[in-house]
Amino acid sequence: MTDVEPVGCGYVARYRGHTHPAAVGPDSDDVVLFSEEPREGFEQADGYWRLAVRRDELEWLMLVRTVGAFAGEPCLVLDEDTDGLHIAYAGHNGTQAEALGYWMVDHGAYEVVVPREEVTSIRVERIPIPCRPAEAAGGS
Amino acid sequence: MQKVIPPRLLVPYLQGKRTVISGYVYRVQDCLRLTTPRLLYEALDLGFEGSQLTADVPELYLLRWYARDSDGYAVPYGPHMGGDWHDSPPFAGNGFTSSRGHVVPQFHTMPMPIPAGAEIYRVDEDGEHLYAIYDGLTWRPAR
Repeated sequence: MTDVEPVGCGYVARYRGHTHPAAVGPDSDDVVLFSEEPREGFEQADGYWRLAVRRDELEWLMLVRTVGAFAGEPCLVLDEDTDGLHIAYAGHNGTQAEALGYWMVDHGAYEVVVPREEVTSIRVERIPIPCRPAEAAGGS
Repeated sequence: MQKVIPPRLLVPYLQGKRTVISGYVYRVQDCLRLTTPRLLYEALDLGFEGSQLTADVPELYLLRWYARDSDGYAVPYGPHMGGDWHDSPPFAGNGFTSSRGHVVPQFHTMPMPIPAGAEIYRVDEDGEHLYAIYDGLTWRPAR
């Protein structure tokens, strides 16, 4: 089945005491929760279970992503495979990205797979996404 | 929002191996007149170095989604516009694509998870055809 663990870059949500990999959309208030095992209310898909909820039904929602540095410039870690880390250039200079060894895999998107030891300062960022209007308005 | 999928990435997207959207993206309302592969190619600077697309490509695939408040879209202004963005040509750096025949505002996103409900359209001379829908984890063929 598809790996539902958030690897590299993905949303994670807390709902009714359980933490789930999640997707946000089509609108900002729509969240889809995923589970590898059946749970109440979840519908079965191909090898996993899913439930569409509103964002304000969640205990919390966060965007998890892994950042680091490659050749002295910031990068995002997208995935890890046997060849190393699949990273994306996180700067604003495509010419510089190419000079560092990245290549343009999509228009404006520079990526490369490099040995793990060449990526330094790796850390996982957890960016909270407000679930309720009061939080979004700064609690006022 | 929308973005033309590079041919080499179409299968990785559909197989769930590529789970992010990244790079230059456009608002759907700014692309309403771009109804054929040739118009999209010309207006969206798709002749960049390394692109597999040509002006006479018979069909291409569009990824389309709604912007979410947690997304981060930047206007890639170059130094002449007070920004710090650089890129290989075609790149105008003035907030628009380099096309002289079309005025299309340009945005950029760092890799972000594909939104649930995103759609892939096949575009040919006859227009757009819904091809697949994303459930947040898996692409399903459109019926």
